[in-house]
Amino acid sequence: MDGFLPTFIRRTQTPPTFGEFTRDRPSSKMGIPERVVVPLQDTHDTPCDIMVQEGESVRLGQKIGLMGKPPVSVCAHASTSGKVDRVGPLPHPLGFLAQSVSILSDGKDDLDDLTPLNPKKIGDDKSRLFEAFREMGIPLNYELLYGRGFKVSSLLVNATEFEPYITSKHHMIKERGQDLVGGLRVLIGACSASQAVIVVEKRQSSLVNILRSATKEVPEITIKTVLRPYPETAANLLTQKLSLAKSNHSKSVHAGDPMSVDLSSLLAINNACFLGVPFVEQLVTVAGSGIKDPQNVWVKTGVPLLHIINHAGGSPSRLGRVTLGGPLMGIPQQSLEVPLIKRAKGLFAATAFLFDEHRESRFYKRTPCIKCAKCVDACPASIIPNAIADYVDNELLGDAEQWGIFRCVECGLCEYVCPSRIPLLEIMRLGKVLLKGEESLLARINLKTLGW
Amino acid sequence: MSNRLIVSSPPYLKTGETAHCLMFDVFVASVPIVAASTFFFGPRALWIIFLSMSSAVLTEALIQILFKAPGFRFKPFLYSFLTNDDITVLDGSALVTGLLLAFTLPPSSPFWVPVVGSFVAVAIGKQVFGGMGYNIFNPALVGRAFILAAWPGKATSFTETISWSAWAHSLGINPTSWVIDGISTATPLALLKLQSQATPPLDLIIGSVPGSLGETSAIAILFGAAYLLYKGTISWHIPVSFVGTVLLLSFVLGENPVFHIFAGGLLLGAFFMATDVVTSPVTKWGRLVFGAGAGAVTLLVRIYGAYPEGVCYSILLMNALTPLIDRYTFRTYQNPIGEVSATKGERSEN
Repeated sequence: MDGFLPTFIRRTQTPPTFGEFTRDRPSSKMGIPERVVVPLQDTHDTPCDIMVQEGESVRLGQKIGLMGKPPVSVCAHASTSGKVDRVGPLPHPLGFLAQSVSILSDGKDDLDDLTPLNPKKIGDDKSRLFEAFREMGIPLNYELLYGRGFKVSSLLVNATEFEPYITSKHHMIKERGQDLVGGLRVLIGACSASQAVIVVEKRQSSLVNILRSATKEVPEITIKTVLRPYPETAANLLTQKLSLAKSNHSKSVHAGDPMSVDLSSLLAINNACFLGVPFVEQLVTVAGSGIKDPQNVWVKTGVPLLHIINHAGGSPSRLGRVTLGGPLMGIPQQSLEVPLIKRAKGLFAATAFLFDEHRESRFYKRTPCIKCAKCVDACPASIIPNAIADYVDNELLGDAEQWGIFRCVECGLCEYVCPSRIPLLEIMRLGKVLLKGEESLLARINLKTLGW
Repeated sequence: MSNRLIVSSPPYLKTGETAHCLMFDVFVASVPIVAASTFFFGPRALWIIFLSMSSAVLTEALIQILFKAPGFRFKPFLYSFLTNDDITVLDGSALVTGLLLAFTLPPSSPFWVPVVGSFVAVAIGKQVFGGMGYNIFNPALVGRAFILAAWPGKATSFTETISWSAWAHSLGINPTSWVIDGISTATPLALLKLQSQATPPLDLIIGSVPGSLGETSAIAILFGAAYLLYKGTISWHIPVSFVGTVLLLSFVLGENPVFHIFAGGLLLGAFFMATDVVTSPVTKWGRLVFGAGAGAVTLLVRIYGAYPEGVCYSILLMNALTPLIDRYTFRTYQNPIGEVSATKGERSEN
């Protein structure tokens, strides 16, 4: 009804943060789940190696498989102790059947024998250190690291919360600020970086204070503030904005480009180095209109989404939409049986009330673009979404590429502000798929059959 | 697990703003202008605005029923009018066109001038190109240009502002004579051009000078513009560069800048006509170029041209250049980063 009734109130063109639901509430820890599912594939053709068999009993932290090609493969670990009850293709949150290991918990969480890896003991052999990181299941950009011989000039940590509702980064810095800085110090030493930049939103001054006091003795780490949050995919834009790379207008990936690191990876490095615990636990925000008790939860990797929603007091029968990630860039889920993956920062679950399938008002239908340029003003990548969408619609893909479709970071802000309700993000993704010539379902659908 | 989950493309949040809201903002912003024109030109101003708006809506509805809505059923007329998706009269864009066209007409126009003007504005200015969002030229200005070309006498004969006591007096004596035959006179710009006679600036700002319905009162226009800027319906780029160019150029050419800003339809054009979203550039630099071009052409027409006023033609001229401006200013946005070169090689497959 919002669009139907005009108002006199000024509308902000940036999405609200909705942080008040979860930011000031203490985070909780989820108990031992009945079952965890550890996926061993990121895409449908990732090579993987399963190390356990059905019926075998595993302990918490035990290696159960390898994900990825051998030089840059990452280990997957059992995040609880129990019996392997199924090995094989199971639903993955990205919407395909991934080779996974399903573990029925015995409710004990028996720890495997853990030895903290000591970077000092490993010494100067960088490849052995990163091999240890990979064995601990820490997601880093290993392709870049191995390609550059483990030397990165700078590290970029994006600690801004782009997604509405999601406050897990805020909580992670507040609760584990020292540990994060410890992990970052290890990583700086490991890839011999000269500087590391942590980017925080300017309005989150409490985080800036925490980080400033935690990094007092580390001159390599600088805290920079930005006015607007940046999505995870926009590391290039952040590099430009903070002028970290040498050339802002570089056409190719430079050797001097910073490597962006995730906060959860930093925490995992810290845990691996000082406690010996592999990456088996992560912090996610559970929020949305379908959640009674929105909060940040420490969850074991691989817990089915249904358990997390139940933990936060959501009733699955009322939910209309569940996305892994926030409401702007999240991955929509069709089933709540899929496991939580390492990249996820949050879980957004909303009731069906607000976006009914059957809402047929003409005010919510796509209308022609009126070129109001709200999308152009909102775009962090400084492209012209409406023009590119026009080109993709008319199958002028060469023009779409020339106007910068690959600069799109898929943040969804263009669609958020669009008064004509054009599915700009969907069109952008379709254009990229068509341009890359990927053999996917989308590519084979004629644009005209979609009614565009 | 009972109900099915909806899977669709993100984002799942929207501002909730639709095109209707943008049109509604224009109506709100034009309330002070309508009030000022009624105050200065009498009830006839309302009559002209009403004629123009209703003609615009009827034209759009008729054209859409005839050409764009093949499944339209005439029997349950109102129902199919309200529910047919191809009939988009209710989005308010035709009403805005009619309103803005009325603002550019002289208060003494005969009743058929706004009717024909709105018909041309909506039919030839907008629907010929495919309706809302596809028009190249500002529809209201197309209608204005048509009237100016077809009946130059009607479009440029201005009357003095109304004397309310005389109007009330005439009403008392003869209630049927609602129409006052005003004394024909010249607008401030024409006075300057033809008789080298300047108008006092205070009159220009308040609006008690002869002129088109909506253009005389600078205060009313600025009130409306402030609302539009506050709501974010228009951005500051086009008005600022438009007015700024006129200011600078009139300095350079030795004219009185204050007079040129407040006389004629410059403020109405800068805040209500040039900022029409469909026909103005989308890039920020493009908007600045657009405004600067329109300002320069306006002032050149005013000083060297045959017409005393050039706002209408300058905006129409820059409307024609809008796609070109967009094409040349989007490059300022383009700093290729990251993947661009990586994907270049794969393009040869297509």
